[in-house]
Amino acid sequence: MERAYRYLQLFKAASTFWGNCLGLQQGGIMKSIRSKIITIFCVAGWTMLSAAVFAAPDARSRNLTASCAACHGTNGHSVNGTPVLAGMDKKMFVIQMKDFKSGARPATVMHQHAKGYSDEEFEKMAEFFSVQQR
Amino acid sequence: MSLDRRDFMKLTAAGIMIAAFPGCASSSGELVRKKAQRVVIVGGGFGGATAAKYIRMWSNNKIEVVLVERNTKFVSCPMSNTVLGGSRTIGDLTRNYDTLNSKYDIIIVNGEVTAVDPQKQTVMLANGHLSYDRLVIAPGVDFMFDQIEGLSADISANSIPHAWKAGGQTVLLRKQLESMRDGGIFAISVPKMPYRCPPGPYERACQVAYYLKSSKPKSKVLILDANPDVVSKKGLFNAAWKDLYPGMVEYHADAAVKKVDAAGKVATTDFEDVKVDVLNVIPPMKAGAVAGMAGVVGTDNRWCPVDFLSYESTLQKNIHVIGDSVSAALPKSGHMATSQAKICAAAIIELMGGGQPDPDPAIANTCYSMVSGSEAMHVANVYRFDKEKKAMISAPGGGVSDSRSEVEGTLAGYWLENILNDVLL
Repeated sequence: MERAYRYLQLFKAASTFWGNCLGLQQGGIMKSIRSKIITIFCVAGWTMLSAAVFAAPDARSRNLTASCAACHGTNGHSVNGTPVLAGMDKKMFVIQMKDFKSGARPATVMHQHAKGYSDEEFEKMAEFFSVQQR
Repeated sequence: MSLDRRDFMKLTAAGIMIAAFPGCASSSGELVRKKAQRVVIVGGGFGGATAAKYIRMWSNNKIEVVLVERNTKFVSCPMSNTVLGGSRTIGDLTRNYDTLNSKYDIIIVNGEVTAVDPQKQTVMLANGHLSYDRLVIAPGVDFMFDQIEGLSADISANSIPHAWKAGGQTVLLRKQLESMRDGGIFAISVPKMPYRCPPGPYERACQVAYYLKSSKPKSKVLILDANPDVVSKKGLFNAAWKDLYPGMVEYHADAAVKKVDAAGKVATTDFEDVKVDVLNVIPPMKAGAVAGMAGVVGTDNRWCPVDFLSYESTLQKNIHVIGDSVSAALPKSGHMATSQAKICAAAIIELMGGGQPDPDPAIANTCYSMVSGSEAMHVANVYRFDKEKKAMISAPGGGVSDSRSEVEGTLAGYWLENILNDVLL
């Protein structure tokens, strides 16, 4: 996954940069307002980059969703009739799959497919579909 | 395939579409110069074409893919029974391979494989060869004509069509129905499981009845089934025959056709000789001929055993088999072939990059049967890898429709459109 790798490189570079900044600050006599701002940036940067790394779906997520394409199109880009799954919000995807599985949401076909997968696999599939561009 | 001069120049300049028929080229060397790690795929049906697209897409175009296909057009077998019913034409189900070439840079060789050398890792065609790092065999099924006395490939093509590969025979069978007298008998023979598309023969009985009901209402549809009972969607098909075509469809169990008389249109089972007007004999099937050439057919002399994590043959290294030819408790369907193709594609990319295949594959199958011009029902299942049995096992929760409906008939159309796009565009 080239994209994940790129994010990782970026993340490493950023951590080193912020780490160095922090290191310099720690060497200082007292915490200044400036260091607090840097700390905030650091945490924010870390969170954003981590999210980016984890959001890039792995091969497992991709493989699990591949069978969906017969009805929902390549990478969830349905060309007619069935819901477009590409770009679907993760939470919404998981809730709906769980509802199909439990029978809370009636369906013609999806209840039968949903029962074949675990809740963890719904999360994996959701990760893949949520990052596909609409 | 019609190409104008400019298109032809463009294609030959890029060296991406090759006609590999005898007389077209004199060289007996490598047909297409190998520039990178290469996968050769034999067979451009649902399985083969999907494997080609997904290997390119998922490897970020790093792996070279050559797709060898003997036909110039892709004709969908799924939904082709509706051509017999009259709600679709064969043209509606026909696509080309152009986008696989133009969008994914898949090298498409239009020709027929004559031999495979697993040691040298080459595939022979009439006018040259293709070397491969990995080979994917996706030939679909071949028919065992010799299992039915009086039947041959020639007789199937001309008078007793099987029409179990969509195309010329589908059109022939439709024409035979059109010229049949009102009050005539159409008979369809169902081979013993396993065969391509388990619900297909029963769907066909519905589609023929749908046509006859409106055009030749005194006619009959006779199902001669080699199996002890309807093998797929039994309750739903029985209900469709009873509700939609009352008195028209007759079902005979344990009625394997052993012999045919092509001139007299007579089918012979262990119990009876049946003289009919239109005879549709679907012979028993086995893996396509290329599987035999590659030495990947199992001890049953019919199907190909594979490792379900990669679809690599258990008999030959670096040769993968997908689709109908695979020996498995998986339905031989178009959707299943595409699902297998994707697991195979992912595994090939991993293996070529020094990695390991996904250890826990799960794949799905949805199969609609059209029972009239507008109504359908389905069977849907997820299949998961069982580590103990080293086999794909049906996960709990799968099943069939509660009843046939127009909603499902519409969904079936969406399915067709989406899967054809997924395979070819």
